Amino acid sequence: MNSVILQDIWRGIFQENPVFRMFMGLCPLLGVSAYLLSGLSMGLIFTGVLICCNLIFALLQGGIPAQVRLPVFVIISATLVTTVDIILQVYYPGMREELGIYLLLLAVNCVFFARVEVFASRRPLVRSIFDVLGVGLGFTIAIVVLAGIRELLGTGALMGAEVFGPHFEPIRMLREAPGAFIALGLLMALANTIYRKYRLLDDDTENEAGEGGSLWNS
Amino acid sequence: MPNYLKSALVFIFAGIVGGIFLTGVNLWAEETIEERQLQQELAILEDYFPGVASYKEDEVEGMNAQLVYGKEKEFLGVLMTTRQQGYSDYIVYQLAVDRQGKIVGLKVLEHNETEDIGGVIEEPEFREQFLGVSFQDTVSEKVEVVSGATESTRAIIDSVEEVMEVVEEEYLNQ
Repeated sequence: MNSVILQDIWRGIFQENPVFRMFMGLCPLLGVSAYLLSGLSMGLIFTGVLICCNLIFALLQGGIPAQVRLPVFVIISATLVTTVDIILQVYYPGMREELGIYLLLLAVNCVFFARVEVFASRRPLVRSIFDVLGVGLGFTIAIVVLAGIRELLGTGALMGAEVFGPHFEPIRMLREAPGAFIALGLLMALANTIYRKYRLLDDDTENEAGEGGSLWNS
Repeated sequence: MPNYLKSALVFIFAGIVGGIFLTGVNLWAEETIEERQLQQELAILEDYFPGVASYKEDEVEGMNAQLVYGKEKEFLGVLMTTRQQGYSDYIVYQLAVDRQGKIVGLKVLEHNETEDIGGVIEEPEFREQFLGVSFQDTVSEKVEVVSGATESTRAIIDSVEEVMEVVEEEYLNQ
């Protein structure tokens, strides 16, 4: 695969991971990460909606004046998120209950806007799609790891299956909001340590190309 | 065309297209979702009123009432959903009354009472005392307050008394 495309995906997962590096999109992350299955669903929906939003936006981009770029994008994302919500209501009402208000709140998620403003509105379609794919994967990885830790230690089970046996005393706090914040803080620290140690944050192509694909450089 | 006009038109157009699209999605999904909600409601009602076939929503004195009908459209009873100030917060509960005016079920849907104390209102031992109590009875004579959880249980008993009065007035003389 083209190295620019790989870089685009790579950047979303590592140096511009929305959760660990940008601290964005924390609302759905904290809200639905108590159980692995709901976390995974949220991650996949997040990625899917983000890609569709970007695709539609990129196709329409030429006709949208800069002044109304953001409002039009809100309409696109709100329409898509509501559609997903209705589809879940029809096919997976249980999952929809689990995701609750956080699903609809995706419509105004700052990660969506950041990627459109910073990347999609200045780059070719194909690259912006791979960029949001990377960002979506970065978010999914973060929420799956966090939800896995919270469910495992908070209930002693994973995907509903008992792991530690009857003698394990679950850390109930992890299922609640304070536990989510603490676990997320520790996870962020750990992720950043790992990223630094293995030099996953280097972003050579962008610097070479000098076009500033990074949010920090723009 | 001035720039602001173009911006406005694009924005309005986007809104209209989004609206039309969502209307389509909604029309497609509406029937399935309503059907499922109906089935869920009927499943809940079936616990109190076996043989339920349909129900009608009503609202009376701030309470939500579901008038329950059987297969031949005969009146089976009414399920009242109401809330009552308990010890620490509102207690939301359902009271099912059959057409003879007897309580056939009581279920606490939501409460914030102290778990080990006021939590008894959720226990079957407390709730089952209400079964069979008629609108002609005085509820507080038939059901005992649980010592230690006086406020929580007293709140439910008083509230049931009120609800029974409303039910008698509104629905039993049909």
